[in-house]
Amino acid sequence: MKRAGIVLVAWGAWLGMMTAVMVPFASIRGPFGLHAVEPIMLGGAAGACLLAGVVLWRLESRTAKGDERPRVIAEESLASGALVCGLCLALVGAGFGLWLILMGAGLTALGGGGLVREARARKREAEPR
Amino acid sequence: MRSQLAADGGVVSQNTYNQLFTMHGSTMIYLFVVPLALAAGLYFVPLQVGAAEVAGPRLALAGLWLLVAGGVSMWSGFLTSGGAASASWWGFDPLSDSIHSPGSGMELWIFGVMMVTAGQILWAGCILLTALRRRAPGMTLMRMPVFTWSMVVTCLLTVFAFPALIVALCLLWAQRHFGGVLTGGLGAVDYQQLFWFYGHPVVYVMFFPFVGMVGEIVATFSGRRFFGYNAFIVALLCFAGLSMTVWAHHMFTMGQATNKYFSLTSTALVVPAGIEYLDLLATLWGGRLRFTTAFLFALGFIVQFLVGGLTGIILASPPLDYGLNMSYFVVAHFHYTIFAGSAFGLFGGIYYWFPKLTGRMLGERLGKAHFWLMVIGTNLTFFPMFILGTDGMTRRIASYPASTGWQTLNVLETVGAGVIALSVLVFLVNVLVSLRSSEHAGDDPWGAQTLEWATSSPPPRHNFHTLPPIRSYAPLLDLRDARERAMP
Repeated sequence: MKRAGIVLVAWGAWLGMMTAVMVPFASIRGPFGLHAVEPIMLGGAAGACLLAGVVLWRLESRTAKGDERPRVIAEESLASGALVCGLCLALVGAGFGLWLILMGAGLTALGGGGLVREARARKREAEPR
Repeated sequence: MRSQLAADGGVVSQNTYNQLFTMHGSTMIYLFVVPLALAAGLYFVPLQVGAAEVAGPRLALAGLWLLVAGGVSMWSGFLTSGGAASASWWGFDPLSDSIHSPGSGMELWIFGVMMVTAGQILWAGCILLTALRRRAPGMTLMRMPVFTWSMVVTCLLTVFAFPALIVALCLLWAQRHFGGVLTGGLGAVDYQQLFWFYGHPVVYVMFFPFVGMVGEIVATFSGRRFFGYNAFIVALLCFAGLSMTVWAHHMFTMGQATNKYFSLTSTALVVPAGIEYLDLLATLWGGRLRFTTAFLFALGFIVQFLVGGLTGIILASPPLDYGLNMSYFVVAHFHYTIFAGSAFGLFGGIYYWFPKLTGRMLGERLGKAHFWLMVIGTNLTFFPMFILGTDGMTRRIASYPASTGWQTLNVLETVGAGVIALSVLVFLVNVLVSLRSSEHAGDDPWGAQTLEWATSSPPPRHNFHTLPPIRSYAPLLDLRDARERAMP
């Protein structure tokens, strides 16, 4: 279980190598100039992947056993649904007006409150009686 | 859409046709194939690695709600006065700007695609963490089943490529409202770069999970251990990495992409793809084949995807692409990969895992009728597109002059589409009949090899009561072999 991060690190390194191969091709000045956006995007993905791999590696060394936690019955969490629907409404509101943004914000607040309530209930459940 | 082209432009208006093909592509990619591929991972990866549940179940649930909300948003465009989005599933600027695509339909499409993509990233993160962090004792990385590995690479692509689409759509939205974002210089080209940075990896997100499914099916129904497991996993990882570096082959004809590099990487895809194909075929070699419906669909995937893959090599060459770009040849190519390939892999997976999901078997007789109808319909619909494409028929046209002589092949394609619809009807009848059946499938009706078959059908909420020892990527086959060896 200790080597999960290696997948991300190896894949990020592979993307990094492909970026290095791309640079000489992209640096040929064509009729429309340099193609800087291409190596930037691929290199960005490689960097993000390497970073995620390193973070996962460090997490692994801190938490040896990942599966020993109270189980979440997510499909029964109405709060999660309310939160996401609220965020979606607020997003669509960006195109349709403040009224929809406010409705979305209200629903998001309700969902957030519900999540806090669920988290507190879960904590109570985990406490020794 | 097929009726329109068979009737040579007499069924709907040009604008309605634009909306139809836009929503066809958008629905199939954003709302159907990618979500189903990831959903299969959400359900089966925890089972295959021996985990009690998926990592981050709340995030997975949030992903589902985002998918639903995004789908509603995209489709509600049809209820607006201007109709749904009509700038194709790419939404390229300036076709999608506020001048060429005014109205709320395009807005709703942009928001919908953002939500759906965000949901898919959440799902992929959950699956990736499940495979990497929630494995049962003994389930090392190199003992994970091929389907789980295919989901790992799928999720790597999703997590590291899909955010580019959200960035592109934010820029597009800002361009529509404020202007000056994608204009001037390479503005519109940069949108394409961002879009295809997502848009090519998504093709592989619609491929790898089904290769994994087909790998499981082929191993199970040939009664053999998967051939060349290590080479297959390395090829998958290299393939996924390469598939992140080929996006601009969609932009060869623009003269504003690094064609030489992207041609090189696009052609290099043949190497890992070839290794995967050889592994699949070598697994079949010398096996005791059982021609179940799931196995037939897997064979259909192997044969038909090859047509899509080989025509892809033609399009990976810039000089050839200049002649075929935007033609029906391209439409035929990607339908052979996504429909004739991935959809066959998906149906194979459904027939294979239906007993695990429901505890009921799908009928084999109706299943085989479904398969053969689908083979006929698929090839009747999509093969003539190669001929029409090389003859010059461009994609996204709602009508064409009678003098082109394209109507006969278009009518044939429309008949094929009808046969596909009939095959799907047979499948739905099969599902209904099977669900009403009282016969229970049992835990492992196929004599399969991976952990999901070690639990009840359907699995309990915590997935497993007990786990067998895990000493390879085929633990149930190990158990059977050990039992056989122990018998006098």
